[in-house]
Amino acid sequence: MSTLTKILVVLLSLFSIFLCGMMVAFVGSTKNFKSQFEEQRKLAQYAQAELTKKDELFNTQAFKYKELENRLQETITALETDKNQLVADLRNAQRDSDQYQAQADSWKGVMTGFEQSVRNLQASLQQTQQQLDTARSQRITDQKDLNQITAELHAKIVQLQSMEAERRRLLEQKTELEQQISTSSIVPAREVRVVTQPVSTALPVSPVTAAHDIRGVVMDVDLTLVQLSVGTADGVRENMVFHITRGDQFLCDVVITNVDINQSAGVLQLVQQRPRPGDTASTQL
Amino acid sequence: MAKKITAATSDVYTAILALASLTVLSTAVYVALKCWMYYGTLFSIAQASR
Repeated sequence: MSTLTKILVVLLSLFSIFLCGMMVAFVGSTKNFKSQFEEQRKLAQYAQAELTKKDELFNTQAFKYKELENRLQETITALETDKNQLVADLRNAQRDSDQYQAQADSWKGVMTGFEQSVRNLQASLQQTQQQLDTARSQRITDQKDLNQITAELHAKIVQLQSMEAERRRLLEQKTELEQQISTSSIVPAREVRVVTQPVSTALPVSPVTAAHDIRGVVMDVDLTLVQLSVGTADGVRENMVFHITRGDQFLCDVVITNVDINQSAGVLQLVQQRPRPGDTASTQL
Repeated sequence: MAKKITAATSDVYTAILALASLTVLSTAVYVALKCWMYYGTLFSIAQASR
């Protein structure tokens, strides 16, 4: 064996051992690409299935969102319409508010004038009230004086009427005495009558019942007294009530306080109108 | 012609060649086992399983 052969044998062995070492190291460190490929393919299939599911879910959600968008769009349209209507109502309300505010301002001015007028009226009312109080106090005083004067007047009237009755009785006695004197020239002087004998000619012939209607007329009217044309000869007595009428109209009542033979006098009651001479007086309406 | 007799002058080179051959053989067996275990084939390109 030559030297060159020996060298080639040694080199070939060394290179073979080196190459085998590299091969073992490379193959030992190599991964299982097939199993990794299978895993990656399964992952890809799973991802594809997930993608399909997600796509379906996306489509479903997109459809739902589309419907929701449509509904929201309709809602937005309705709300927009309502908003426009509300804006129009707001403008109308503002216009009405301005108008009412103007009316309120004008009424405020009117009310201020009314308040001033009311103050003036209240002041005049207070003044009138004071005058009324003064007049009432004066009226009370006058009423007292009037009552006193009326009482005195009634007393005087009664005295006057009694004196009138006395005068008439004396006139009748005078007439009777004159008749006696005229007849004494014919009749013997023995037949002398008593001068002071009361005369009964003023008495009525027959008593008049209260139910009998007595009618007369008003002869004279004083402040509170009325003189009637009927007296005891017609059946009139004291405290009898006569109704004074004018045609069909009731005027007042008269309570008889004093009675003479052919006339009577009384005070007014239930005065509706003041009687006048000539009005009708009757005990029954 | 005289027959030339060849005799090994030394067993060192024989041992070296044996060692190299054994190494190459071991490497080939190792690589074959790996390919068979991973891909199920020795000389073709691995196919994806259905």
